[in-house]
Amino acid sequence: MKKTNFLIASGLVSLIVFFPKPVFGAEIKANAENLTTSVNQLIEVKDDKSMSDPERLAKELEARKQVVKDALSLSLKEISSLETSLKALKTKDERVLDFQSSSLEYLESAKTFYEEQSDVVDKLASMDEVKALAQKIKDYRDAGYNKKIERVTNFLLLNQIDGLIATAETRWQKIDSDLKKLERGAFVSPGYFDANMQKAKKYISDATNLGADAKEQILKEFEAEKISAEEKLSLTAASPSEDKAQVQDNTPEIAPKVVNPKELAEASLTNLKSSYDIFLKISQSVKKILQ
Amino acid sequence: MKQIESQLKNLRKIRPDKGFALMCREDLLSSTVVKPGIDLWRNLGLSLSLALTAMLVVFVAQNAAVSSYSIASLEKFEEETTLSRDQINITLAEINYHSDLASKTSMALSEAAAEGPSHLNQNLLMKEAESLKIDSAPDNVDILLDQVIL
Repeated sequence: MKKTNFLIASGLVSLIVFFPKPVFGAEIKANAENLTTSVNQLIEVKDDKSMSDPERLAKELEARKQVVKDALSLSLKEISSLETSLKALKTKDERVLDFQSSSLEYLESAKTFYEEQSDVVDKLASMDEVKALAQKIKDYRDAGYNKKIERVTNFLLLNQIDGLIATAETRWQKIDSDLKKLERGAFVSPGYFDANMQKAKKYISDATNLGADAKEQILKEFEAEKISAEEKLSLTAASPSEDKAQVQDNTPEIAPKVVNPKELAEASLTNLKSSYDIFLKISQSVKKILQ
Repeated sequence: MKQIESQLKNLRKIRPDKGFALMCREDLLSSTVVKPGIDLWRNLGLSLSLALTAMLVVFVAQNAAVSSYSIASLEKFEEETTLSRDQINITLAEINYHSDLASKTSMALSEAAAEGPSHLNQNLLMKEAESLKIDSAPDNVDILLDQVIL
């Protein structure tokens, strides 16, 4: 019997590969490109010495407005992408449900803020007003928006990573079963691939743990922030003036971050990638054996 | 010859005895009566053999399917593995994409809020630096994201 016809490797084939849906789609990318273009145009207009001052100022005003409009449009697209992905998140975990609904609520408020600014921008007639609006939006983003959006994005990506980990785990199981068949058929000495398989398993379990740690960190951070906001709100409502200093003191500190969720997610994916490197090595060895 | 013919003619007239005919008829009729006990076993046996045949067919078909495995299947496996690795790279790129967007927007808004020309603008400098690159490497993150988006 030809070696290539041996009863093996049913698991090495036909595995459904997990395709995560991107959090940020084509529209976001197009909007980001528009923003880059409008910024470049503004820089060029600011620097253009060929025009008369009034002409340049009029163009500059329009160019500044365009940058603000494109920044708002990009932010709104970002929000709508995150809203879609967040709504699609299926979970029964109470903590995740809480995070999901609070995040959706926050996105809604951010959407309202950006929409209000979009209504304002076209009505502005002076350079100073446009500059002030740009600064206002920037401050809003720096004050909390960027941090919250990053948290939601990372959480959604970690959910995608869970899907990738599940695919890798199934892959491992199937390869393991095929290698056992090869051993039974005496094509490979028992335990020949054990070390590699254990190494791959370790990479996958490390990826799982890192992903779980990252999610836990995101949820803890979110919960601490929520408690802090609630306490601040209730204390301020109880005694609006005199206890303000005390409020600051009583605010629980958010646990110091050792490694941030983004780094943990990256490390999780790197581990997962290493497990696939081993799978490929094993496949190449099996190919040599069967040839 | 004539003798044989007359003998055969006589034989044509032979009829069974009435009693014998009745006995035979009863025997024949009674033999067609269904005997449930025996048929049940027969049906059971038939069913079992059919089931066994079906199982054998499935078993043989399965083995035939698995035995059709070849080097080409391993190559398909490698393709799928590479695909999974690409998906991991795309997710890695996506992790950094948000921070890129955030800083891009921040820079844009700063530009819109800033006074006069800014010759130290990062976008402008990067654009100029890019045009100086003779052998610029493709932007990996963008290529990966294009795979997701386009």
